[in-house]
Amino acid sequence: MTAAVVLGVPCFFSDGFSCYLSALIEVYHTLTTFPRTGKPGRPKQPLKEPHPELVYGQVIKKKQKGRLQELVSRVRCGAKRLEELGLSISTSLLERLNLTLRHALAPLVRKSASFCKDRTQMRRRVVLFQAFYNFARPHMSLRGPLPDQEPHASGLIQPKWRHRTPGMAAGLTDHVWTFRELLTAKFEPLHNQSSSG
Amino acid sequence: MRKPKDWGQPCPNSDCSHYRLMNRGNISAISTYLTQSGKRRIFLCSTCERPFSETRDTVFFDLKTPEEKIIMALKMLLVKVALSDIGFVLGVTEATVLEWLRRAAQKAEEINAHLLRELPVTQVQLDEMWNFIRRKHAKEAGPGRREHRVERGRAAMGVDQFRPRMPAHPGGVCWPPDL
Repeated sequence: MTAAVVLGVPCFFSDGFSCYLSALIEVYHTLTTFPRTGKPGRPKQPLKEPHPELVYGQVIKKKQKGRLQELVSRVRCGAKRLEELGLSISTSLLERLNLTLRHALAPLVRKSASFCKDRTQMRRRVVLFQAFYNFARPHMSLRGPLPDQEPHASGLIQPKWRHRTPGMAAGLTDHVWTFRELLTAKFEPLHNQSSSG
Repeated sequence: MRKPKDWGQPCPNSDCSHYRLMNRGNISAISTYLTQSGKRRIFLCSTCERPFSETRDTVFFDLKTPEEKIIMALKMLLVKVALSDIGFVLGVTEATVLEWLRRAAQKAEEINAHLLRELPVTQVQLDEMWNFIRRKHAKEAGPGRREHRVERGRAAMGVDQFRPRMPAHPGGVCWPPDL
């Protein structure tokens, strides 16, 4: 899913969940084929090896009685490239997004009666929130200061910040979308449309 | 008749040669009509000579409900308000809100498909989030575990498990089923 949206091979960081590495290799890999030996028997299957540019690091938390004891970082793929890029292995941004989601969608609230009864409806809510978060909701950490202006006589409170959305920061759009705009946007058909969601 | 090129309206007629193509100079505004949400434009495609409303292919198409109400319901969905609460506040049924959600999610998917492509990102963080969708524990619990099921309570049960006993007479009190 991510591979269809991003350009090139980014660095991947996750927790210690074991499924990610095999899933990443399934998407980002190089096939090593073996020549036929000429001997009887089944030919050797091509081998999937991690893509040379693939970087995958894990952050593993060791807890005891609910308290964090140790934080172990482990590079599973592409240690050399990770060193060149100088990135630190962390999942803190995503943990913050998880909290944002839990604060935004009623079915994701912990220990509440408003859990979702249908997987489709749950998916619809998340998709709507994704578009809203990326294009219509200004993000406080992305805002920039407005240039100094002459104070207007009419207004006592002058705006100080230029609000930005994640979509604006990524260069996908040039303005903060209104909610109505989100519901009425129209596009030309994509000729080379890739899978999304 | 005004013919600006930036109406931003594609022709919705699938038989037209300008189907879903924008800013080709084939769309012109021919009239308006009044709704509860204010004035709306009617456009005409000069290629296929078919008129269409400005709400075509939007969430508001073919809805009599005021736009403000729909927008409010969808905004409430995004600020942790439960579905039944939205229905209560706005005076609509839950099915109505879900239908608005379906339309909005369809539009959101379209937006994501068009704009979230070939993103130049350097790092991607992966994580999983656990959530319950229709808990089955109450159903799985056997008849001998009655007290256990009571502890789980109504809040933890799916709708299909929670069937309140009907009142003996109209206007009577509904009470939770025997757990």
